[in-house]
Amino acid sequence: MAAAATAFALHGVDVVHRNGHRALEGLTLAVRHGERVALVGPSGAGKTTLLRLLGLSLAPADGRFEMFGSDPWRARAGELRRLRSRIGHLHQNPPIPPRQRVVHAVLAGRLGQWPWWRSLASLLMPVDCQGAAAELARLDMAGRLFERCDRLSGGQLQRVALARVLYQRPQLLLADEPVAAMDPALAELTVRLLNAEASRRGVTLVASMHAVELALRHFERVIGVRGGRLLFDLPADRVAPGRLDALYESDPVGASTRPAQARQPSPTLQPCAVVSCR
Amino acid sequence: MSLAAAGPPLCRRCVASAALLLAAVAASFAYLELPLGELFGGRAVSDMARFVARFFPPDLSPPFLAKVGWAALETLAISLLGTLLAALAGAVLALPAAGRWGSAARLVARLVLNGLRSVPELVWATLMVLAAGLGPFAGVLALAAHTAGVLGRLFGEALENVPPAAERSLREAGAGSLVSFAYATLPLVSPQWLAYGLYRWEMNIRMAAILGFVGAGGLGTLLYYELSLFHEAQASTVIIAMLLLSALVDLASAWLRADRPGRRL
Repeated sequence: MAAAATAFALHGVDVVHRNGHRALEGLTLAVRHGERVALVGPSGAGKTTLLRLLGLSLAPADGRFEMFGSDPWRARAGELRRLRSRIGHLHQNPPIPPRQRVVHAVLAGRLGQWPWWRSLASLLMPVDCQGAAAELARLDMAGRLFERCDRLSGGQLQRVALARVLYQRPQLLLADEPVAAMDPALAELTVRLLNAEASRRGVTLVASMHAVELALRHFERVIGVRGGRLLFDLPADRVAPGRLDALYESDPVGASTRPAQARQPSPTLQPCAVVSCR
Repeated sequence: MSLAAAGPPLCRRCVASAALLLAAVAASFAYLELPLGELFGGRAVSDMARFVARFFPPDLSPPFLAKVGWAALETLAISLLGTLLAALAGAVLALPAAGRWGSAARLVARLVLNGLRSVPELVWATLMVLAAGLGPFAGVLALAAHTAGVLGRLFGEALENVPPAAERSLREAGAGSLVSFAYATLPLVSPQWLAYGLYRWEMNIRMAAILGFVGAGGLGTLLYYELSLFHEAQASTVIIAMLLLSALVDLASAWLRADRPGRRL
């Protein structure tokens, strides 16, 4: 039906790591273009695996997986690269060389779209200073274009990484715990910025979030993952506290058994990752 | 407690090694038939003094000084070209040696680097003089061959120690391998590569002065020529030029590497 509106779709997808561990099991999920989705769940639930699957770094072992309407793992190498260049990544620790100038760190966002000679020439003479400056200005980093990245604070470096991924103009933006290493105020600011920029540009956003409260407040849709399975998939305003308790409840049998959704939430077990921002 | 009372145990290995070393020294003297007495006798000292005296005063006539100056420049040029070629070859060989193109390529690259490195510069120079003829070109090739082996290994080790996250993140966004390397890994290793390159250049300037002895151009060739004609005054000028060049290189290198992080040598 509305295939064009679907950013990616999974049907019964399994992901098995090389050591035989089944990290995702029977995952069925579809996300439309422009949706902003938060992934929540305890450590080891499979959030990072799901993000790596969506980032086309991991191939599914079983099931159907479609990215932008095509099967990436049946595409040729060049086509796979083109698909990857439409996907942006935001990491917990910005993977930017400390001695690099800000302008190169930002322009690096489009290396997947430029021919190689243009990319190399840009190292000698930045080819799009204006484009980089515009992204930085929006993130309150104007005038830092030629600064070296090791002169920046952690929050500023995170904004350079955000400017890079926005400069890439991706259609899908994946963020793996983007604010886990930040203090609450900076985390709040960054998540708000990320959501504002994503919705302004109509970018599909998928972020794994440790801070559930932050996720509920800023994202449209929240997906709970536990033991490699989908536990719930709801609009943010319809996630009841009981759901979260079930999601984070400690399970003596191990995360591989599926927690019953109807299980009574025990009042003593609060979601440990909720960060209070006030 | 009983151990402490007995004192530290006698190092049998140390005693054995010392005895072995003494025996080896004595055997060497015997084998080479060195007259130990003459080495430190009065005759030897006065002979030595007379030999050294013949080197003074050095020949400071302008034409000869000009000749020495040109030879020094040639030595400098040989070392610079040799080191640059070696850095290029070393960088190219370091990529497979760091295991970036699979384990088979890694093994081959390491073997090649080992081979280049284990042949000393002087031996390379003798080979290159046979292959390329007398002159500075042979010197450049000889320095390049040995130094490529050294730098390739050092560059490769630096590459292996670099965290892969930066390059991986660019690959994830669809960038090609060459471009990802240039944007992510190169800025991480370049300070160290530069420090290694400068350090080897410094060593190569000294080595280039010696390579002339086997006919590979520069100050060494001049020194060899003057010495074989027993022109001690001229030889003395050349030796002084070598010392000056070395001192100059030390100073320049210290200044160049003064504020670079990542220097380890």
